[in-house]
Amino acid sequence: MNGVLHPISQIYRVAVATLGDMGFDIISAPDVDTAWNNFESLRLTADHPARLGQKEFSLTNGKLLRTHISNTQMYALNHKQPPLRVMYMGKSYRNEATDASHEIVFNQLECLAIEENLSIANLLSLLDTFTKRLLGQDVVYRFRPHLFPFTEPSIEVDIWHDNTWTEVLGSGMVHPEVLKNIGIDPNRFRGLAFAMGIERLAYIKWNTDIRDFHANKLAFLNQFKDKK
Amino acid sequence: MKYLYSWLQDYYPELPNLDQLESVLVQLGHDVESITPVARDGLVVAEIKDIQPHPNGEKLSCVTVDTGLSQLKIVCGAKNLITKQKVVLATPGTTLPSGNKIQITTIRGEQSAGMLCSGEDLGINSSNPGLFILPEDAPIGESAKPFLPLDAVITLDITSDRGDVLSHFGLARDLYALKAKSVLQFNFKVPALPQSNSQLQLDTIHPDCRGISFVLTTYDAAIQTPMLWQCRLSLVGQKCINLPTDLTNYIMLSFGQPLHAYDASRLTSYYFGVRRAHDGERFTTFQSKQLRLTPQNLVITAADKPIALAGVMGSQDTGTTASSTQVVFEAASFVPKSISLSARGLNLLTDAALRFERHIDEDSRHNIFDHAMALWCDVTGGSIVATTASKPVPILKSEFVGNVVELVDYIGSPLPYTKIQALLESIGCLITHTDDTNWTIISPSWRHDLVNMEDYAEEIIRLVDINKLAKKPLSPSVPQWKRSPYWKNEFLKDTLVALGLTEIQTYPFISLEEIQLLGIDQQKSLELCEAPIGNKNFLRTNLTPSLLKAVADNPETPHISLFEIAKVYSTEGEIEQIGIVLASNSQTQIDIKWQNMFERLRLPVSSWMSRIKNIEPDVFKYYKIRKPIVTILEMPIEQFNQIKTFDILPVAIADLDSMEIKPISHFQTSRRDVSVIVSKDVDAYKLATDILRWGKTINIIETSIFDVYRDPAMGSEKQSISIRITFQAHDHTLTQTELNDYQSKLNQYLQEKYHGIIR
Repeated sequence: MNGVLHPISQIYRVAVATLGDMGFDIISAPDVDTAWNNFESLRLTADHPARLGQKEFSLTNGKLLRTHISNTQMYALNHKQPPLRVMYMGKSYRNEATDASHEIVFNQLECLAIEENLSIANLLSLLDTFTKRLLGQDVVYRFRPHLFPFTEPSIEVDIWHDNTWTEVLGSGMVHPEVLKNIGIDPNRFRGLAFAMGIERLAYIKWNTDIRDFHANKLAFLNQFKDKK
Repeated sequence: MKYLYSWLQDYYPELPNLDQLESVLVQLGHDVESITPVARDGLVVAEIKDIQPHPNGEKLSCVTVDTGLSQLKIVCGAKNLITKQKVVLATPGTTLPSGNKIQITTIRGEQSAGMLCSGEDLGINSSNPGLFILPEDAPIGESAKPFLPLDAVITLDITSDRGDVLSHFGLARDLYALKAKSVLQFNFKVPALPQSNSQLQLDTIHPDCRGISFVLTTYDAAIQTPMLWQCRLSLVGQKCINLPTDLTNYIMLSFGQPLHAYDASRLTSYYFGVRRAHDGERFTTFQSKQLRLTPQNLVITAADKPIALAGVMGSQDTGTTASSTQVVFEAASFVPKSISLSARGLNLLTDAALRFERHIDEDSRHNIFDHAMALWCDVTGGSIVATTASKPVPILKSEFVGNVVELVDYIGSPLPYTKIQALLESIGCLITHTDDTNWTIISPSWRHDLVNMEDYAEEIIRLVDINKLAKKPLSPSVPQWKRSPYWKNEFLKDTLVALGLTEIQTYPFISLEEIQLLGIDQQKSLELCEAPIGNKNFLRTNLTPSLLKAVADNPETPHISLFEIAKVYSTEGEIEQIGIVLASNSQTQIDIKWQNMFERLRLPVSSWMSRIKNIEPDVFKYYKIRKPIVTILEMPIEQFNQIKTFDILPVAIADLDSMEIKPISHFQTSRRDVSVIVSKDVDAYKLATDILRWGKTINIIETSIFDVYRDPAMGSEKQSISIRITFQAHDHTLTQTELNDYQSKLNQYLQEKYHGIIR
């Protein structure tokens, strides 16, 4: 009798395979990081309204648990000099109340491409390919202009699900200030990035309570068994 | 913010239809939370049958109307009533847009069974002050809704960079830009100014205030806020208070400029200033909140005494009331950060403070204030007594010098330069060319977010509809990802799953108690300032506590095999660790399982068996684990991968769409045991499966056979099968009554399908 691969791992594999085949390498960064790497370097300054919506867990040693996986952008050059394509995944932590659609620990996958002639057209193409690979060729989706401090322009991808538009991906062209903070010359290189919450996609897709993914109840996990 | 469709139409009459509006707003980057129609039930077509003057009210009439079902008497104050007119009757129980609830009432001694509505009563901006007249052929007694203009309240989630659309005119202007014709204009009114005035004087104005104006006007407190304003303010969620305050809110929601109104008679002086608060300075807000200010707060003063928290809210003792006879209005512009820090520092982010934080249009402040004062004089019949204004600080225009070729290249779509220019001009930019492609772009005074090329690129994609832009694939690149540790780990996961283990994902938080219990080195553990859950304010240095909790959380499963590959944290850094836990009530089973695992992984069995940890009884007690034997193997994944290398073999990629997942119930399960005598030919396991399939309708979630036996007393053709049935409902804990009902249904099923005899 087979056991079960966790649904989060299963979703990761489809996403990672899609991006991996497009030349994205896998890198990683620590969960425990500095406020600079997590916030300021990404233009989430102390008084920015977007930062006020992202309460963090801080440690007694002065560092914090990252509130998003984007801190990894600051480690990109440890992998190689540009041009580069990297993806990274792992846990992020938000200090907020949990309910059926909010968790304190959640998985994210983000990818970052830094090359000389990237354009918004490249980002739209990447989002299109990725969304269709993950959710099926027939998925109905739309791009929507949005605001993130670390990208300009910023774009969210909504899918039509359960008779309403639901946001699944956040993306954008990396802001020139952020490129500088990474250590890249924004006059020479451009960057694009997009990120996805794995549990979020899972609870939307399967209409469950987001907390089920960390509750580790076998009754829940056994539903994800490979039927073959 | 909430917007009223008809209010937007004031500024942009040919606004897209309501059914198209949502997609247009989304295209512009304004997320639509909801669109709620204004039309309400309870409004009925009625025909005027008879009009009689009210015996006790000069300006009132007693009108008899036919509603089809009956003839009702309504007291009405409208002029020019004509019989046979079809009008809108608001029936008792209806709530009008102003928030007014209609009831059967008595007006000056005469009963009124409802209300006949004017346009304004219905929230309609009509120039006709009388009753709203419906077409001749409007059917009596039917709903009046189809005959009223379509209106709706639109709730938008505006991004923090777009302070310019936090008003009806601002949003209308953004929508108008899609026509790529010109910038939406508005004809601001100008009030009549007094001949001479020196009553209002200015003291020092702090540099954080970039300009401030005061106007003293007369006020007749008997005059009510116009019904149209009442309806509009109420519909967009703003309370109506009194005319001066309502005017300030109406102007703010119309044009985005916050204003403030003070009761002139409660001001000790007309010598106004703006300064930083003194440390500990006391201030009572108009909401009666007592505050102690700091120099982080900016205050507006009269004779150096604070009369308002600048840009935030007024004081209790200077607010307008029903007995005010003169009002001082004030309009100002501040350094955004100053108001932001002041307001957020006191946790008082008011509508006004939010707009200052997000930048107001300094260029338009005077026009808007003039218009507000002209409206005031129109509505009250009052006049301006005196004015004063500070010398405004010069407004800095944001200038961008760039090359349009670079801009088009950044977007990646073949957009003609003429189109780019037209689009930028439609949002108010001023473009000058040094040559064909080198441009200087000056952004309009209401936009503070357009600084660099990327910001302009974002404007273009908003205006041309991002979903229509070209897509260009990334250049092909050689995949390297299968050489990464991720791949190795995933292959290991597949191997363990094939061996019957289930992967879990746990929280990394542990408590000091657990650290002490498990003998973990506290010095090496990282501590959080606040426990995310319960008393768990440390990060785990190994996976054991998390694995044990997962075992404890599955008490119903007799044999558990779980694993996790996840990070562990210490003062020396973070490492990826693999942890495997096998728990059972059978030592033999566990030993066999471990041996089997090591053999399949081709690892030396005896040396690996010695790496396994057996969990101690006191640990069991703490985690409330009921299974008697728990064994854990864990080590850094690097170490595992070094000891055992795998060939690069394919890793399974799931078909996510083929999974049918049901959310699990969080309500209590109940168990009943059933013993049934059936034919010896019945397969016990098939019986259990049949019951499970059929039993979905009676909330059976699990069946398991726990006994099968034959007894000569039953006869040679019979056997007894005992089954444990687990019931669980999705949305509540099942009651005894329900369970008894289910049991009798189950017994019936067994009798009918299997000719079973229940024991």
